[in-house]
Amino acid sequence: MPSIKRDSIITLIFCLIVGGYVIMACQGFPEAQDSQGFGQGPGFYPQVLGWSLIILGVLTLIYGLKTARELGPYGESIEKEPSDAKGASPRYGLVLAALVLSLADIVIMHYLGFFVAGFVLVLAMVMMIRPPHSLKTVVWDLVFSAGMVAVVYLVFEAFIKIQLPRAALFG
Amino acid sequence: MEAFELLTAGLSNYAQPFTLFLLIAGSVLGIIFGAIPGLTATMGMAIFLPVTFAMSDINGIVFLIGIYVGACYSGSLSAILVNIPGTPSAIATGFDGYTMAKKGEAGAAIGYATISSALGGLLGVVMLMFAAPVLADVALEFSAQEYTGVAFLGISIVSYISFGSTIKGLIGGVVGLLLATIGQDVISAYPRFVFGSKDLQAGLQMIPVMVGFFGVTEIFTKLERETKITVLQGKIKNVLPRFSKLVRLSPMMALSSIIGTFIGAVPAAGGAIASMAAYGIQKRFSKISNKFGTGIPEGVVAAEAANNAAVGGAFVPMLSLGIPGDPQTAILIGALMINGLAPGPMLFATRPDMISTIYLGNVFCVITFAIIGLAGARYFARLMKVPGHYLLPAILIFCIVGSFAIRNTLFDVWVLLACGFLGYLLQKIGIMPAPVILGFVLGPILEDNFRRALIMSGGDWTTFLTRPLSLTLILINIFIILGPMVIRRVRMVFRRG
Repeated sequence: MPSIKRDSIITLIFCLIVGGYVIMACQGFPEAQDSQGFGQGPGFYPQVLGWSLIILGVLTLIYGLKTARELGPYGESIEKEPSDAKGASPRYGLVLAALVLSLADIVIMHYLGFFVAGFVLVLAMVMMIRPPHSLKTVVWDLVFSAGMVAVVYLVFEAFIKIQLPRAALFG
Repeated sequence: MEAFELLTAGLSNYAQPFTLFLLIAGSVLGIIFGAIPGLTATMGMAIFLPVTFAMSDINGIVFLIGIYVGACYSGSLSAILVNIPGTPSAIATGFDGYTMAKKGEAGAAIGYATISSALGGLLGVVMLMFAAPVLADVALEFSAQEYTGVAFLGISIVSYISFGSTIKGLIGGVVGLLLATIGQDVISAYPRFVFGSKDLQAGLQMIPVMVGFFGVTEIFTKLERETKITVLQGKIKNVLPRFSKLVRLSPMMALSSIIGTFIGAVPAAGGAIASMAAYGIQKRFSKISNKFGTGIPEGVVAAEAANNAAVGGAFVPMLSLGIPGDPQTAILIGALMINGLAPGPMLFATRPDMISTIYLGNVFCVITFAIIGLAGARYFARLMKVPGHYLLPAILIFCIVGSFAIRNTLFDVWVLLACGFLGYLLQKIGIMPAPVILGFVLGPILEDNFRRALIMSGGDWTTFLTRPLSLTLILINIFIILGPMVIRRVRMVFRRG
């Protein structure tokens, strides 16, 4: 049996889950009133999109199967995933850490305001991407983080008068 | 009023040093707003709209036009330098512009973007002045059926031009369309997919979604894949394109400008669709079609000439019909109304000086950004030299604050991160962010007109086929989606034969 690329299967699963959820959720939407026109209630258009997504997901699998057949048994080795082809191992940990850091930043921003949260986010990310190897780099990172917060303050608050989040903790 | 008198009336306004200063200040502000990811022309114009209350109507409009035109150009700068389009209309510019920058040709990419933007902008204004009535007449003929076709055209074009599979491009488009359905239904006001959240009832805001899919996704991708962020080495060279090359590219610029002006003149279509359509069409018919996306000046020129020409086009329905061509012209209409002026046909009769000031304002803004763009190219490109461990956190903090600034709510920052992570995951399975964003932008236009067309026709689906303009658009859509497949089949049959 010819091997299908992994992402075709994941795409199908994604389309089935999202499309299926949309169609199911739309079942609970109210029917259109006559004045709103001929059965096109609030769920009509999302349902069309949900079905489109499922059909496109199935088409992806069919296309993937066809491509795998054309490439033959060596297809998998010919058509490598881009990340595999590069040789360097993907740094998923760094991505996850950045995501968690950003989410934590929103919470910190709510309680301690932009100045603290912004400084912590920039400093933590800089140190995470390139861990400091000397006191000099630590000082540079601190200066850069403070500088970035100052630039953002000048652009948004001083220049275009948008009030940045203040600390809820201190009223 | 004769054309010469009209021109003189407009020119006399620019003889005032303060008006000229506001035009340049607006252009510079526009360049800043367009270039910084998370800030947009719409945001800049909206923020500075109250400032214009203290100015005369002419000065206020000139200042806002400066921001609009400057931002439309500079969206390309961040698209080229960090692959984050500053404005939606610069999405297509990044396809080749960013690849050029990665190859060490950031200066050349900015040069081509600046020249083609300037020429596109000028051609757009010229066409606005001479062909406005014709273009307005065509756009006036559009009904819900045609708007449905135009919106779908945007989706089908983006699926074709997005790299990799066309099907995955379409999946991205549908995901974007689904994201646009979140919130209250426009017709029945029924809340859809809001999960009990009051914030979601208003729907997802454009800026957090766009910055999330482009900015945050790019940050995650860079963090995952690159141990060392690409930084330009050596001096930025060849900012000014060779004259012979420009002459060779001039038919392409002219065609993109015509496409851009026409699409820009269609209300709600805007520069994003214009640049995508021009890029797609140029790619489709170019002799070097397979090289598009690999970092060639043709790709930058095709997109930039169109999106800047679309600015001229967007003024057509605004001035002649009082209908906004895009969100920026909607703000300009608001500014005119604040000053007691009614945009539309009457403006030509009552304030011809305002009409010519707007025409000339566009021309002078184009000249201003061309000078700043070419003179400052090597400084813009230095952004790339900022080490990645400093650049990525800097972009992230601007993305976060930019998203917050739209409505002063942290909810939009959650949306930003959610979209960024979703974009990253989708990219892992070959679904790129551009079709998702185009789907999201076009979603409300498509749904509103699609449902309105069915309501108007009493539920008759053939309504899309019985109107000549709508039928033409449907045929173009079918050709774009199925054309390459059919051509491939025909070629195979011929080869076998």
